[in-house]
Amino acid sequence: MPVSLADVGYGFLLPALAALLSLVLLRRMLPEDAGRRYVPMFGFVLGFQLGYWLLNLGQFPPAYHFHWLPIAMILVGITSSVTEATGSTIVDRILTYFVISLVGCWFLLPNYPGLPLPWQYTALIGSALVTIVSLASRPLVTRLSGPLLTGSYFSMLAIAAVIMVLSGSISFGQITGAATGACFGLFLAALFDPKAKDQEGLAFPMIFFAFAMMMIGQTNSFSNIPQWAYYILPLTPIGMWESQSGFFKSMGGIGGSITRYLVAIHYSLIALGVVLYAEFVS
Amino acid sequence: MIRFSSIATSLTRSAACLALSLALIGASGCGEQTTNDPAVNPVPEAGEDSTDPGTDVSLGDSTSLDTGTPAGAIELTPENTTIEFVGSHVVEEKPDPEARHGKFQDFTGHAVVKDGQLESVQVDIETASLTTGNDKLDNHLKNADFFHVNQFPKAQFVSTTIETADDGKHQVTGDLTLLETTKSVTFPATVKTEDGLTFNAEFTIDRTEYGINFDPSKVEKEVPITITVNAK
Repeated sequence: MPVSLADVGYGFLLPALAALLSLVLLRRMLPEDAGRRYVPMFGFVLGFQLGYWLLNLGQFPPAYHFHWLPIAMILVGITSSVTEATGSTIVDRILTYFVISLVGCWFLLPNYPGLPLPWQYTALIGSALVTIVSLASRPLVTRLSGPLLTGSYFSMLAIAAVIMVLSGSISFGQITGAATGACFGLFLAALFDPKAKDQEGLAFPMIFFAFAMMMIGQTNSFSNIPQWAYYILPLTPIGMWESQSGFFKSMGGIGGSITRYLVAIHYSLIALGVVLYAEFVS
Repeated sequence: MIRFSSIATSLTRSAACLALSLALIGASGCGEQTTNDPAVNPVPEAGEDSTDPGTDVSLGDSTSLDTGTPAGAIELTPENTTIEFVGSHVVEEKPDPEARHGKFQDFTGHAVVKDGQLESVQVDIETASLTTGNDKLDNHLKNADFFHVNQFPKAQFVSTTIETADDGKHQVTGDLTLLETTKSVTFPATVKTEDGLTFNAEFTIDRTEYGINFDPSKVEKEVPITITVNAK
């Protein structure tokens, strides 16, 4: 099916532009603390919402389970930014991430008959997974240089969009594409704007979105992709940590940068490899 | 110079996170239990709000659709009946030379013929039985982009009136239900009731009226449907 100008414009470029402008402009207009905590999340969620609604990918009020995604992302984004406040403890974040993930999963996960696991169990396990990976991802903002962090998230979401299409839904691919576009805007801001280099508060929204889309894609798919393959991509931040081990950090030059980038996203690449194998080889 | 202590710290943290994550994934994969058990995953009655979290809505189980076959009715099965549809991309050349032809393979129904006149037709379709001969296309059509079969496993046609026109052709009016949206459709049909039932009808629906809203700028809204019956 051909990709139209509207698909690219509304579904990627506009979200990227919205996120980029948010980072560049709002960060300078708001006080330091508010800018640090809220602007990256705002740019990401705004860009996603723009692409989602301009391409008419859902409806309000929601009619189907995945129509709750725009609302869930606002909730997750605000929650993430609030928990970045100075003085928040890890206990605050564990409880908040888990409860908000659970609420999001409650609305986003369908309970179709014949699912391998009842949605309640997927919601509990998924919320725990999102909480753990999000908590582990938070410190990456100070470990990875700005472009590598957002570039890795961008790659993760781009691969997620491909997985959604291979799972059998172009609409789900477009929904993920809108988030990918927004993340590309964040990446550009980190690359060129020194004030937007470190973008906090993105871990929870990114991981929650990745997990939610994987579950939405999995529960609606009739493809050959095994169920477990959908759980690999949200583990991408683990690869980001591995890219910061001394061995990889000691690599210099462009080769070193490329290696660190590939190590950072290798979980996403593995997920893509499994999906491609399932759909085209097996 | 490689610092082994920093490698160990990063890898230890990664390994701990990975181990916890794998344990959770393994736990999610262990749930190979049937969700047809009402105690585990109750299927709500038709009519429940589909936006109610934790519920899905379908046309209900098969008993709520099956009104029973009237005595003397002709059974409609995949052996004597075909229900086909055509999906076309939006292209300049009409008809689309690469139009996709599909059909449903699992359905039940009956036709009532009295005194040589076709009185009623009802067909209940399992939407997941659609096939086009192309697995990837089947997956796409079954997904939420089109028939959304997990959410709406049933489709139905129930005739309300069947009139005979002066030229011998029949005008069939009935309720077509797709994605739990019911619309009245009327179409001409060629019917012969000597020696069983022969029924041929072709009509076109606007899929967006039934909630199949996938980009109309890429895939035509109008979907021709053909029903053919050769029942003895």
